[in-house]
Amino acid sequence: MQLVAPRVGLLCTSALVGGTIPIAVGAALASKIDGSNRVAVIVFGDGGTEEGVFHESMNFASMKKLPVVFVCENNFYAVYTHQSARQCADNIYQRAASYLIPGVRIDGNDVLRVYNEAKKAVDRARRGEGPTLIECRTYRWLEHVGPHSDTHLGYRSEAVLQDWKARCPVQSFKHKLVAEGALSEKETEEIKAEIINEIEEAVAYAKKSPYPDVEELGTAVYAP
Amino acid sequence: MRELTYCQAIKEALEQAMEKDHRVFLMGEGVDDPRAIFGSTKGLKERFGADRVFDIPLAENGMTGVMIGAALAGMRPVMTHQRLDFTLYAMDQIVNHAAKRSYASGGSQCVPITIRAIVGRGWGQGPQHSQSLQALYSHVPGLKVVMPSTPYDVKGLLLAAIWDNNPVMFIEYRTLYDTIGGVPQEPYTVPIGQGVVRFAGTDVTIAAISNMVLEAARAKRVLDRVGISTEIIDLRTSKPLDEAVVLNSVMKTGRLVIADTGWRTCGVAAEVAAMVAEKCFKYLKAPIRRVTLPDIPTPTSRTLEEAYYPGSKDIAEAVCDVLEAGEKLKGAVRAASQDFKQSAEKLFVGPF
Repeated sequence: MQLVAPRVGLLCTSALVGGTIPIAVGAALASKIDGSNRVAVIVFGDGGTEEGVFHESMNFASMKKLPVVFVCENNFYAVYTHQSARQCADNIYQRAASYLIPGVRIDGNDVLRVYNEAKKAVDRARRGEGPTLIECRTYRWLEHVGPHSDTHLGYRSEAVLQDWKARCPVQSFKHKLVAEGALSEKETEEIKAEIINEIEEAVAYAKKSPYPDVEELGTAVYAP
Repeated sequence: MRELTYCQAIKEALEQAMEKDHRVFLMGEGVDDPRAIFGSTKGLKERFGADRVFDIPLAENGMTGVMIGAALAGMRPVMTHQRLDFTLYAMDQIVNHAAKRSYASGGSQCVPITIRAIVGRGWGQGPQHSQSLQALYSHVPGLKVVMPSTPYDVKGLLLAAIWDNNPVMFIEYRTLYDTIGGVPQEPYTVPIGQGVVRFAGTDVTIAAISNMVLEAARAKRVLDRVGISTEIIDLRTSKPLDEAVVLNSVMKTGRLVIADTGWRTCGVAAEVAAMVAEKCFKYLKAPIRRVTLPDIPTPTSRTLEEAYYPGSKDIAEAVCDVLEAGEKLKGAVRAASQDFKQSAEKLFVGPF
């Protein structure tokens, strides 16, 4: 939960839910001060919207019209606890309104819908009009952390999960592209093979990489 | 050398930092209001503009996160809290985020932020407007904690903190604001993590920090009168601690009094005492004594405040203890203290 890749624009991640929301607003503030016209996008779950820092971030970003896009992936669960047990109402996208930020709720599994809303929000941010909140409704297939299924724990229904699986964003979009003639079946197989290859190379690289030397233990506690 | 107050020295440091580097900006509740943080930020907004000096919502945690994000994106922000107590709202961002970025990113990122925080005192500040929490922050790997005691040091250490690529908690003791000392006009830095011997001596070492350095100096005036040769060390930084300056002194005197502005339990004095016991036990001629706040929240009533805060008298008594002074010496110290008030600070008459 400490992944960073500033080279490709992944500035910060955190294991503290909501912790990176104000950090994104800070990056947007820097962009405004230094005139670099970069837009900060912050992705968080439904749980993140309950942290006070979410509200603090929206207030400040709105007041200063900062170039930031707030993206909530609402998958309805924080670990095993359903949204209805944590929030007074299912209205995440409306919470931005009190901070004068436009909020929209969309099907998070609809690739083109997500793309178009994101584009609108990024363009709005670049024009200096301020932030947007996009609530993307989606679902978690596997457990909170790890590669296994966990419906056997009984906190959610298998039927609902299967429903969502039938609306897989990748499969749905693939069918759409093939049906519209934008891609052939063969081309989709080639893309899939390419991606699987890239993943397998990364896994192989990780598996053959050595564990860190014990000498590395105290390095980089402080920046030079 | 030209003299400035501690407060003026802070302002000069901020001005010179912002002049030199456009990436430095200042944020905080009230930084551009009529009181200007007791005068320490006066005129900065007029000079550098509203983009670089701005007030913030009452959202310390969120705004510290904003500060961290700006730092990750290449800026060098400075935040001011009118009371150190307010930084507690921001513990998640300070401890879980700022302190971890360098380590968690394998050194590929850094968070060059400076958080100025004032320790309140007097005029009934009470338990929530007076806490001196250097121990809390010193405990966390990845943070630096600085507590300058003089106008010269506050300017040099603030500039050092701003140029440092790590998160620095910059703790300013309120009653030091009106103290006066020589401050060079040009920009300069004082190294973080380096203590200094303020007065050399041979009989006893007093290792002190922040306001307690001044109290130690007042105690020394009493001790001088009875012929005790006192060495006073100003730690200046509690994290990273300058172990060598304390150890070298204890190896010389064999007797140590540590004076800190925080509470007794798990305070910075406890850390210094443990370190000395570990590293130069053989040189100690007597047990170490600590002069700290008692483990009690700050009282609001004036009479209780006066009883609460340790000062030069307590330090002088502690020196008698480590010298294993007999009644004669103790009596002499008491007599020499007669015309010294517990603390020479003017009674602060407010407002806040």
